[in-house]
Amino acid sequence: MSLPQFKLLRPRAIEEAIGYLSRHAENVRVLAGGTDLIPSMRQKRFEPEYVLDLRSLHELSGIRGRENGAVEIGALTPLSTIEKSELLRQHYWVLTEAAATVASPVLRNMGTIGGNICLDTRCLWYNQSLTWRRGCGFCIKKDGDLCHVAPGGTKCWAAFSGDTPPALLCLNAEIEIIGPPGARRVPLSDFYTGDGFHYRNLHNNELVTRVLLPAESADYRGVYRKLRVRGSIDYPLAGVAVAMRRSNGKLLDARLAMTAVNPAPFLVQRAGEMLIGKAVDETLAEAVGDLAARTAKPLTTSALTPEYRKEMIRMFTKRAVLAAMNN
Amino acid sequence: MGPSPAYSYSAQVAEVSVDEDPGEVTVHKVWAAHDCGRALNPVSVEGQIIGSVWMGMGQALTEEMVWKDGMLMNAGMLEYRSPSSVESPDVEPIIVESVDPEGPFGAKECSEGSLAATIPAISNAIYDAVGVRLHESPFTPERVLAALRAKTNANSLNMTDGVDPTSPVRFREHGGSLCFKGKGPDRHRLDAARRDTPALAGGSD
Repeated sequence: MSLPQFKLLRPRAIEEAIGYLSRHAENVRVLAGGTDLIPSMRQKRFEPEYVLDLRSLHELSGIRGRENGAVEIGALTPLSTIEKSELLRQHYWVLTEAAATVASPVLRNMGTIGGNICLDTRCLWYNQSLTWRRGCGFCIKKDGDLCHVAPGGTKCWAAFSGDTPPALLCLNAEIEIIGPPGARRVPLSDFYTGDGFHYRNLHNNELVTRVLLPAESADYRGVYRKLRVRGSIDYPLAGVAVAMRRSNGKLLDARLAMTAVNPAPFLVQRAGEMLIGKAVDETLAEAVGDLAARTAKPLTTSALTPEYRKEMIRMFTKRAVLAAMNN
Repeated sequence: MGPSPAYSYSAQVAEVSVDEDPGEVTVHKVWAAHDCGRALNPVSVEGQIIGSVWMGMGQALTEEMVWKDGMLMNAGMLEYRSPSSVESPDVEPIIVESVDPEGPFGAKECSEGSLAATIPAISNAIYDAVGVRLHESPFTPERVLAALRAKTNANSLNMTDGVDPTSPVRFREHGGSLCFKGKGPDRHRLDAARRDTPALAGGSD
């Protein structure tokens, strides 16, 4: 599984990077940390003519607090920096907790927040070598025209497996996207499409450059719970993030987001409605867990059974709600 | 052990905790005694014992080759899931020396012999902790949870309903393929793996 041949482009400014992207739109892949791109290229899932290495764009790295309390995170900030950032630990705990569960320390040193947001969707039938995929006649996400997970369907069900997006969704984060016409901001919840193939709303001449955490979301109590078989390295098989603000034992605001079960991470809107204004006890937490389990649609995209992952969404949600309430 | 002229013996004790909601097993400490004949290099023997506990833990808890229609579904170290350093328990190696007249300088062996005891030790520890007997390794969280649910009769996690009826029985029982349900005859008609006739090989084993 050697790397295919490619030409490396190393822009020194964002405009230069956008220029390269526009010129080679169909034939370029973006490299930030490379923790997902390099294995993908070795497996011949991507065989681009050009690889655009963003690592010399230093202005896209770092965490900056604004005077109004909002926080701006550059897309190239390593996950380990986010995990250890004092500012984020104080005000946006759920994000640091989610960042700390990504893969292993080595991968967190390389992997970036932008890369985690743009992470390719994953599936047992897709994340395999070229020889393997040829053996099963390829799949709808790459080279083939049928889905082994949902045979007969035309939609790709590969699961989105990033850890930080559910935490960011709970914090109502926005992302800044720069393209040839200039910069635009979109709420993270509008970034994902829910389709495993076209999993994000990003043109191939655009870059995700910044993550913006609004001041209103600061100081939410939150937890992130992740299902994985090993305590390290593994992608999430189910993930639940909860963030809430409370006063006098009553909840003023609560948000619940999930990842790794559907082709997109998503907020469970009704969970917030169920929780707001209530005193949270075990029964209510259980009801929210039931709701979350009904919303999750895990399929056979990973080696654990969908039934089990669904059960774990129920259990993790209950535990996360109680933990967020009590911490 | 294997083709060696001498029999080596090992005994292990495992301390585990089981989180009953997800069915997750954590190994905290393993005491591993191994009869290696004469220990020619005691430090190396201890290293071998520690390594074998780790290897046995992989077999007991996580490592499994999952097959579907002849395809190995977890063909890589990421999905095969050997234990990482986070899972590694404290291991207390105990060397039990005996002099074997047939072995070189009285030695027997020390590597895979001591690994065999890890799996039953962990299995028995799980039984001691939560009272379920697991008859199939690895003891993944879903198997432990299914066993716990079956024991308490509380809305059991049905792991066999809807399993591909044409798949060979042995593979079907092989837990990994349980996650690929509703396939076989129900597959899309263009699916290369669709089988309209019952599988010949292994169909009734």
